[in-house]
Amino acid sequence: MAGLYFEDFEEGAVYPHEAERTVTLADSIQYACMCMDTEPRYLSEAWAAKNSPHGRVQIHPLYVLSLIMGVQVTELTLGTTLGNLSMGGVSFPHPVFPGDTLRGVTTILGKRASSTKPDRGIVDFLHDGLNQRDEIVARCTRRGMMVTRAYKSVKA
Amino acid sequence: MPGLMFEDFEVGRRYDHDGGRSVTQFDNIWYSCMTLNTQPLHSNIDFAERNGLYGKPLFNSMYTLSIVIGQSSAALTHGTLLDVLGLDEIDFPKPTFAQDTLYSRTTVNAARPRPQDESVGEIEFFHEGINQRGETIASARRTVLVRRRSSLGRSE
Repeated sequence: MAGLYFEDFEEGAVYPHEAERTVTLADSIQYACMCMDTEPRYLSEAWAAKNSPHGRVQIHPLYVLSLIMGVQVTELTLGTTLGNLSMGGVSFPHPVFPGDTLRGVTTILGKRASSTKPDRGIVDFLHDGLNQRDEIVARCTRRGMMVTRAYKSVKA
Repeated sequence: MPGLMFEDFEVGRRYDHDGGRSVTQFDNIWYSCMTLNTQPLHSNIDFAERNGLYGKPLFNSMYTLSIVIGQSSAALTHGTLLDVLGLDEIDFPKPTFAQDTLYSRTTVNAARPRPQDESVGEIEFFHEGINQRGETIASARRTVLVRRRSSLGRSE
């Protein structure tokens, strides 16, 4: 598996992620629909032209955040995580619009071995999303449960 | 039915949102596709059965959070939302799996006018997601910027 095990994480390490993606109006509309979110600022060009200070549809900020969470997986947690425990400090310093290209950078804030289960531990991440002008468009901290190399699969 | 304006929000009031949304493994896989998330714990049933803590795919927590918040928009901020300022204290006390049904409720935590701009105000929400067994599966604080009745030039 391509992700890192608990032992591999070092505080302060910075990982620029390879995957990047241009986001489109279709992404924002589909995302809002998938989440039962009726907010017209993410769905309607006509509404946005008339009512938004930007004059156009803004990409759904939780889609932006989800994408930044998504692109970190391949280098960091692919097959080596047991789940996402909590997140915090979420901000969206710059809005994202259709046609912007987003990428992610993750900094390791710290880690703590489990006191009861030697096959796992907790890692704190700082995820940043950047656009094509290198402006930060989304930022959050996240606490994930990561396995050690000693972790035995359920059916092993 | 338009959403609420700043003056309409009563601090302490709780809204139980109508509807509810059952989630499926198709949702989970499609969400991974849309967000470039290669995590097999979400999108690979075979892997999740062998390696996951629960012996089945874990529903993507960002998608859980997005549905919990999305379900609030029709009743609260539809067309009155100007910006999402941030989220904090995002927790996932219980895991979500395919076939679960997610309900949402929102409490108005705070309403803060902006002295420098009388056309807008900040509202802080506490969003909670509850499954079909009444268990809390996600919660988050979320601060948004909404219109005030005194705002000029609005066209609703």
